[in-house]
Amino acid sequence: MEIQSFLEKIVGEQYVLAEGFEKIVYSRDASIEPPVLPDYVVRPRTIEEIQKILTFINSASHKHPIHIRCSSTSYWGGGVPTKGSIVLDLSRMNEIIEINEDTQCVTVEPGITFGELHTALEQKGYRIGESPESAYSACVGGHIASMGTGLGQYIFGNQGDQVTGLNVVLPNGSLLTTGSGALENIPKFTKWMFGPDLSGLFIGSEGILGVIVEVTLKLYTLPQAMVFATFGFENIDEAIGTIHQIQKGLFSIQYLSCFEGESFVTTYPELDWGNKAKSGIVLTVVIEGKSKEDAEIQKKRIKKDALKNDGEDLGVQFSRDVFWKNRYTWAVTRSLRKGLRSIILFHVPTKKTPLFWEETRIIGEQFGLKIGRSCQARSRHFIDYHPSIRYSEENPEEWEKVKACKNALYLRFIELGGLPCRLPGQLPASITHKFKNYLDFIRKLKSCIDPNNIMSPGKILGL
Amino acid sequence: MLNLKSEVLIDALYKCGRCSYCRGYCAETPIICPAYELTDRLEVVSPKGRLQIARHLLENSIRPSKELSLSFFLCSLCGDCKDKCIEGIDTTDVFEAIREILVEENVGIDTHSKFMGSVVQNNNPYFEPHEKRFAWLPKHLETDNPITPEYTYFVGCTSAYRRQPIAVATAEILHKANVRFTFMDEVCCGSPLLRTGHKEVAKKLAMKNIEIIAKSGVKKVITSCAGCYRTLKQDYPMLLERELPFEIIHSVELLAELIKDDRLELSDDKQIKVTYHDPCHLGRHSGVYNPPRDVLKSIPNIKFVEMSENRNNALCCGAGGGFRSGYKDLSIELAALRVSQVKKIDAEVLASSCPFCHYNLELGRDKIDKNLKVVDITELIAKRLL
Repeated sequence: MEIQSFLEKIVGEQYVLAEGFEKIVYSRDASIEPPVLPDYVVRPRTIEEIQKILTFINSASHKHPIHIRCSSTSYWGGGVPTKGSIVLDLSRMNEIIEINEDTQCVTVEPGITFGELHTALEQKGYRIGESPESAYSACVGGHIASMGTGLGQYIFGNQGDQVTGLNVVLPNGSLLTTGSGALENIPKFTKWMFGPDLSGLFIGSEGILGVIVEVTLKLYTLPQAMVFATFGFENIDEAIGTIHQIQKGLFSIQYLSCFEGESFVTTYPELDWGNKAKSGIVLTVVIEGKSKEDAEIQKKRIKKDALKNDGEDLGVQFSRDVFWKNRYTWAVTRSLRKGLRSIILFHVPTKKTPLFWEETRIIGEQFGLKIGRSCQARSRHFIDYHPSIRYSEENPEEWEKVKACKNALYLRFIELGGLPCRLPGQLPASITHKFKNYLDFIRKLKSCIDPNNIMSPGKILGL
Repeated sequence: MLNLKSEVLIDALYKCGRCSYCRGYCAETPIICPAYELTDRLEVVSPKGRLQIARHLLENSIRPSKELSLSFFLCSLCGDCKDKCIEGIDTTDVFEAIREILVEENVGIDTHSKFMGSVVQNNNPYFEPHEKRFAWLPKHLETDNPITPEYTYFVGCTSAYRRQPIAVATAEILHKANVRFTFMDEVCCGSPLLRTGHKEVAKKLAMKNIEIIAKSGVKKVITSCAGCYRTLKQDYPMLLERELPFEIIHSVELLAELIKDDRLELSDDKQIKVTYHDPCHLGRHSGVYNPPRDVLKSIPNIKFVEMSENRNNALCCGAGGGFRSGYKDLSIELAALRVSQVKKIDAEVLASSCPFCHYNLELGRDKIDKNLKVVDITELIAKRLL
């Protein structure tokens, strides 16, 4: 009760939630992970409020864990709080602080959604480099803290590459500015300062080292031209062969993915799909060009690669405007409309993808589950592989089966040489010993920055 | 376990993948869930939050309470979350069903119970005597009672008691266009009760109205209220589990036909810039988007302009779903937000086709710009009748 009163004193009574039904709402994200109830939910509006909260928790006799949350749209469990934690809901911190047209950077609060940010930027002819496919609801802060991936990444790099500076409230309540903005009167135009990359400490940190309260990202002008192409393949080897060829070329790719044709075709029945698409694999690519001609030239080269790999040009077309307008419902709609939930995301070496594809089928069969398979190339160097599954939590047995299947996939994929996009709370020692030094270093770092271990304890392999 | 009767509803609760698109943001719809925005993005009142709470109610892991009921009643049932739901969950149906349970558990909203009492006693939620239902009717229209009427005009409580010029304008237009119409001794359509968890009382009203209409022998019912329209057209057949023996037509649908058939002659006037607010019950709930626009575009010297948030992306006015009666200040704040969208396009007149929207938008207007005229389309037409 003492804690609740103190939190209410800092942020105001209406911004502290402690009723059972309120905590339920903050107990999950979009993943298959089961709910975990926090003790309190606090909804700060200012940096100062967050500083006061962390200072207080650090000095309190009972040190509640802190879990940071914005939209909680994670498909991988990042939004599920630690048991008994205080959830810091940052969704009230949703303003654009500055659009600096000189340095071509934008500074925002962490709770702004990508949808809001895009709308404001597009009015000025700008975009940011990368956004998750859940951009309409996902928040910038959470995406950076979970090192999310998404559209635009192939061209501009991942979200970490877009950051030119952060403001972070450290566990002791002090405020750290990273990047060039650390020096007074210098704009936040680069994350590279003297010494190591301090922004990098917090990018992908899952909130274990501090609270990101301000983010500065690079800006780019809007795309001039886009062309769309779809190809059908009889099997995954042919499709991945094509993707690898594309990755070797210097193409400007907005979106490059392949799916099992059945789900794709039935999601968009209004379009005329070829037979190969129906029974095999559909590869879709959206190419960005400096001009229509430039985009068309790239498309011709990609088509050549696809045909060389026995692909069939399905000829399905979308205009630049149609794709641009629907880019954040495109993939989400395809899976969710079919009731499919992504259960796992791995970065895998491109040529190994067919191996993961086949293992997924085998493990799915072992559990009596049919797993949907799809992957995206969001980089020239690897593939994002994310199987999805249709299940209902109404059936607890089925839910348990899916969770067990997910764990089996996890272990097998690591054995096969895949990199999980998010480390779970627990992994067997047989796996963790493979990167023991890496984990030890992060552990030491955390104990220096957060000696009382209040920030999201256990979020990354028990750290 | 709570008595959630419908399998469809249970399915919907487990279908939600918590993607959060129901409270997201895009250029076409900056505000999908007004309640979420008005409460400083409180997830507990977001559609996703409500669905999670509903699921736990169903699983009996939490109990209904007055505090919990706020999540479900702090909502105008505008239907934008349903429109945007990728998984196709009929969120408004779910929320109405949960409201019904909360009322059964005695944790509903007091103001809703009060107007329910008025409906039972007076046949209207405004605590007005039933005898005054036709107090708005001008003398010269009282005689309009043809032996074989084609239409009956279902006035609705708000037009009858609170926005009488809309009722007058509608009747004047019908009269001028030589539409054979009559009135009926109607009772509240039940919309306010259905939306606030009092389904059983609403069902009795539906039976009463249907009996009155059936007795009159009229095969077409016209209404100028979006709430009555949705209720008569969609809810009555569901409530009574049978098709209605008559057709339901909104006044803007009939107006569009009358204008198309040259049955209305309209005078010229100085040019004005007019925009249109889609009432949720007529737009998102019923899909009637073109007729009001066709009517406005056909009025001489009216320059019709769209707000960027229009049709299925229109922002709710805040009046419906028991929101206004339960949370008046927030409801007016929402209306003011809608009016601020009108200001962005510099329209001089905000037209709509629902007396309840009209009522709230005027209050919102008063907070933003008293020069903006808020009118019902029927009023615009009636003023120009030759």
